[in-house]
Amino acid sequence: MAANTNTLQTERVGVSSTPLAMGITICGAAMVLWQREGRMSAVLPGLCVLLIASWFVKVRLTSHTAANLARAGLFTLVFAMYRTHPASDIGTYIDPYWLDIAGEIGLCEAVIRAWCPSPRGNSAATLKAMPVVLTGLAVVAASNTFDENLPKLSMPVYMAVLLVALQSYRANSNHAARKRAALNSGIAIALTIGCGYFLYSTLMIYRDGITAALTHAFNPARYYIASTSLSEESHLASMFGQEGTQERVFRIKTKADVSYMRGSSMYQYRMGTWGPSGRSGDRKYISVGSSELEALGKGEPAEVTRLSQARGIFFAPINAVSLQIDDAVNLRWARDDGGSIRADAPLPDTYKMIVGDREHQGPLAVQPGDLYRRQLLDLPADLNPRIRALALRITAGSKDAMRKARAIQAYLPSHHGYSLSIHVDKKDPLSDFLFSEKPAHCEFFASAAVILMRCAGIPARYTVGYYAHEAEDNSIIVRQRDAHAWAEAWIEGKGWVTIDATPSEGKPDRQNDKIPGWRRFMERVQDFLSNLRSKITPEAILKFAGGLVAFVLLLYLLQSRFHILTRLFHRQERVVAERYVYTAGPHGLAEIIARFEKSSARFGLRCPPGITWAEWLAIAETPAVTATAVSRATEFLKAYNRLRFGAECTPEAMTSLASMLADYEHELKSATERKGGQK
Amino acid sequence: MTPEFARRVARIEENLSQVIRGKADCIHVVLIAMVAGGHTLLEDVPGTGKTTLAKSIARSIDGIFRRIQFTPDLLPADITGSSYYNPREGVFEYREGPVFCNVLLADEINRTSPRTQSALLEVMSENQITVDGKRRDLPQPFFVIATQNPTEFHGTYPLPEAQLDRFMVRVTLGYPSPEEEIEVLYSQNDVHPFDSLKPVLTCKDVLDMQTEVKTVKVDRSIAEYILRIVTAARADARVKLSVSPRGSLALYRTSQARAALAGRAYVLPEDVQALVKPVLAHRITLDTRARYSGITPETVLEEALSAIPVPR
Repeated sequence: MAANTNTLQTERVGVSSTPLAMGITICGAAMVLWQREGRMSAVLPGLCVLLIASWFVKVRLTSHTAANLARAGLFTLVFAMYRTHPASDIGTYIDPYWLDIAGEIGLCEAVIRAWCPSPRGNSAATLKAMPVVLTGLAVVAASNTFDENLPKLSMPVYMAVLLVALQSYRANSNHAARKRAALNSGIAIALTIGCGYFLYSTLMIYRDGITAALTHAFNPARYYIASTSLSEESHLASMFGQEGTQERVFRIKTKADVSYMRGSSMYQYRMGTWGPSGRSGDRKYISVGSSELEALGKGEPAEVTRLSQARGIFFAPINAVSLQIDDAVNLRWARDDGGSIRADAPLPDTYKMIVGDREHQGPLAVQPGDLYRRQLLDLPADLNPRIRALALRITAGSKDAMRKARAIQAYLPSHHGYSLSIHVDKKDPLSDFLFSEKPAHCEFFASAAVILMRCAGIPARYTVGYYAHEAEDNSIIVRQRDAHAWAEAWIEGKGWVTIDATPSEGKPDRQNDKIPGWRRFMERVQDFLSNLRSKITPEAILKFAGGLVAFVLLLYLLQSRFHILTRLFHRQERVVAERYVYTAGPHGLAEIIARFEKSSARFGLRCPPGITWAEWLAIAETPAVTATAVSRATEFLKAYNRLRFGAECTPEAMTSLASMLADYEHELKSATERKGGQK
Repeated sequence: MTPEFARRVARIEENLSQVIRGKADCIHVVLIAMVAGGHTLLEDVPGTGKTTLAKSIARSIDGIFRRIQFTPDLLPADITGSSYYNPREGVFEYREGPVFCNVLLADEINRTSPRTQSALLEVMSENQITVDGKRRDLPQPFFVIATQNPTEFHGTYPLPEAQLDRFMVRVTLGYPSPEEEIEVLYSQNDVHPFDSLKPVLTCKDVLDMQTEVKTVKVDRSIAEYILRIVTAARADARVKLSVSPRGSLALYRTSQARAALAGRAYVLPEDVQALVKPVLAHRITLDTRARYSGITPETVLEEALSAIPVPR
C-alpha cells in the first residue's frame, strides 16, 4: 500500500511541471495573438487557468469515466464558446476556423492530460496516442477540404476514437476492472456523442448570442471592429479602418480599370456619421435576378474570386456593364439609394462582370429619383457656414458641375496631407479637418468632398469599397488594408462620376504595403488548395469520405492490434539484450525442456523468462488447458528440476522424465480433442 | 537432506508459531538466516513482536538469551564486557558482557552511538571479541537479532552501510491480520504463550543444521543466476551503493538454507528469487533523485528479477 502511495506521489512530481509550462506558453501565445492580431479566443484564458490550476490542485481525474466526461464537457464548451470569425487573417493553408478548432482540441487534450495521472508502466497507452493524433489530423484535413457540415459528423467520430484509444489509460487493471472500464468507456462514448452533439446543435442556434456575451466579457472594445476594415456605418473617427490587415479579400482577373470597387454608398450625414447603414430596416432592398444586373454594352470581362468570407456584399465598379452572378444566389439590392448588392450565405466563390470604359453608366449607376436627388443635396441644418463659404470659394471659377467637382477634388489634396490617424473635434470633425488643414485619411477627404459638392449644388454621395491597385500575375489582389472611401457625384449628362479627393499617396496604402514573404508563400499554398478544391466533384467527395472512414477504421484496427506488434518488437529486443546462456544441465535435459516449452506454447502456455514455470503455472490463468494438464506439468517440472539442479542424472530418471512429458503432452492433446468433440 | 533436519525444522516452526501468530513467512526467513549462520535485522514499529520472536527462538534452541537495550549512552564495554580490578585477589578479572550468549537481541540498535554500533561489527562477523588484547570466542551458535524502528529519526543514529551489510537478512514483521490479532488477544488472556514455551532443539542441533546446510547442492547455473541479479543491481543507474560480494555470498548461503528447510538437497531458482529482497534490499543505497521519486531498493530488485531470465 505504501508503495502505491509513493507511486502516486511520483506521478504528481513527474507530471505537474508540464501543465504549468504549458499554461504559461498558452498565456503567452494568447497575449501575442491579442496584441498582434487584435483577436483572442475566449477559451484561451479559461484553458490557461485550468492548466495552471492543475499544478496547485492535488485532485486528479483518476477514474476513467471522470476523465472522459471532463473531456466531453470541455469540448462542448469549446464549441459553445467558439465564435465565427469571418475575416480572420491567419492565412495558412488550413482555414483559420479549422486551425482554431484543431488548436483548441489540442489544448483541451493538454488540459485533460494535465488533470489525469500519467499512465505509468503502461507503454501501450503512449503508443495509442498515435492513432488519436492521426485521426485528429485526418479530421482537420477533411474539414479543411469540405464545407462546414462535415465536422458535425466527424467531431463525434473523432471523440469516439479518442475515447476508445484512451481505454488503455487504466493501468494495471485486472480482468474485472477491465470489463468495468470497457462498460464505462461505452457509456462515456454514448454520452459524449449524444450529449455533445445535442449541446453542440443547441449551442449552434444560440451561438451568436453566446459569442457576443463572451466577447463582451473578455474583449469588449476591439472584437468586432477589428474583424474588418470596411464598415457600412461610417464614423469619422480618429483612426481609419481600425488597422486594415493584409488579408486578401478578392482577386480580380481583368484588363479593365477596376480601381474603385464600390460596395455601398451613403447619403445621410449627421454629426460626423454617414448613413443609412446596410441593415434592411434602414434601406429598401429589392430582390433581383442576375438578369436585371445585365445591360447591353461592351467592355472588358472581369472575374472576381472571393478569398475571404468577409460579408455578403458584391463589389463592383460603378461603370460595370453587367454582373453575372450564379442564378441560384438570392440577391438583394438597395438599388434606388446606391446601396449594396448582397446575398445570403453561401456566397459563390466567383462572379463575373463586364467593365465598361470609365464614363460608362451601367446598371449600377441608377439615375436618382426626385426624393433621392433631394437627399443627395441634403446638408445638415447645423452645418458650419464656413464650409458653405469654402465650397463657393473653391468652385467660384468653375462654370459647370463637372468642373466644380474637379475643383473640389483638386482642392482637398493640395491643402491636406495624408495620415491614417487624426485627432479631431468629435462634435464637428469635418470643420475641424477642413479649417485646421490637418492630414487625415480617406474617410475625411471623401466626406469633405461630398459635403463641399452638395454646398456647390452637386448631388453627391459617400461611397465605401476597395481601392484595387496591387497587381499580381495578370490579376489584381485586393486586401483588407485597401478599404477606401470616396465620393460619387451625379453630373447631369454624364451620370455618376467617381470623385476621389484623397491625396494620391493615400490611395494605395503605403504604410501597409509591404507584404511579408511568408504571407506570400501562404497565399500561394492557399490558392493551390482552393484550385484543388474547385476540382473536387461530389463523386470525389464521396470517394474521399469513404476513404477517410476506411482510414479511420484502419487506424482503429491497427491501434487495437498494436500490442501484438510491440510484443513482437519486445521479444526481439530481449533476444538481443539477453544473449546470456546459463551453464547447461546434464546431457539431454535441454532438449526435454525445449520440447516441454514447445508443446506448452502450442496450447497457449508461455511462461515469461523472468519467472519460473512452477510459479507461473500457479498464478497464470490457463483456461485453455485442463487442471489435470496443469498438475501433470507441475509434476514434470518437479522431476525436471530435481535432475537439472540436484540429483545425479541416471538413464532411468531420464526415461521416467520423458514419459512424464509424454503423459503431459497426451493430456493436452486429448483435452483439446474432448473439447472439439463437445462442440 | 536427512529426515532429522526436516523434523527439527518442523519442530521449531511449530514451536514459534505458538507464540508468534501468523507471520509464518517472516519466521521462515529468520530461521533461514539462523541455519545459514547469519544475523537478522528486524525492522518495524514497536509492538509487532520483534522481541518476542527473538526470545522465542532463544528458548526454542535452549540457548542463552541476552538482550541489550541500545541507548545513546551505551558504551562498547557494555557490550563486550570489561576487565576490572579485584582488590582481594589483586588481579584484573574479565567480566563477560552480554554478547556471551547464543541469541543476542540488540533492541533498537539505531539508538546508540556509532562507536557502540561498530563494537558489534567484530562480534557479528568474527563471532569473537577482543578485550584488552585478548581474543575470546563466543559460544556457538551465535545469532544476533537486532531491531530498529524505521519511522523515528529523533535521537537515532542510522546504521552505517558497513554494519547493515553484516546482517544476512532484513525482515519487516508488519501488523498481523485482524483474525490473527484477535487470536493474539485471546491467546494472551491467561498467560503469555511464551511462558509455556519449551525448548525443542539444542544448540548442538542448530550447529549440525548449519553444517548440513552447506552440503546443499548449488548448480552452476544457479550461482550464475545469483551473480546476474547482483550484477544487475550494481549496474542500475539509480543505485549509489550496491550489493557487496558479502551480499552475493549471503544470497548463496540463504538459498541453500531455504532449500534445506524445504527438504531439498539442491537449490532451485525459486529459492534465490524468494530471498533476493530480504537478503539484498538493505544493502542497496539509492541515489537521492531515485529516493525522492519514490523508488525503493525493492523496486530495483523487482525490475532486475523480471528482466533476468530464470535458468531452466
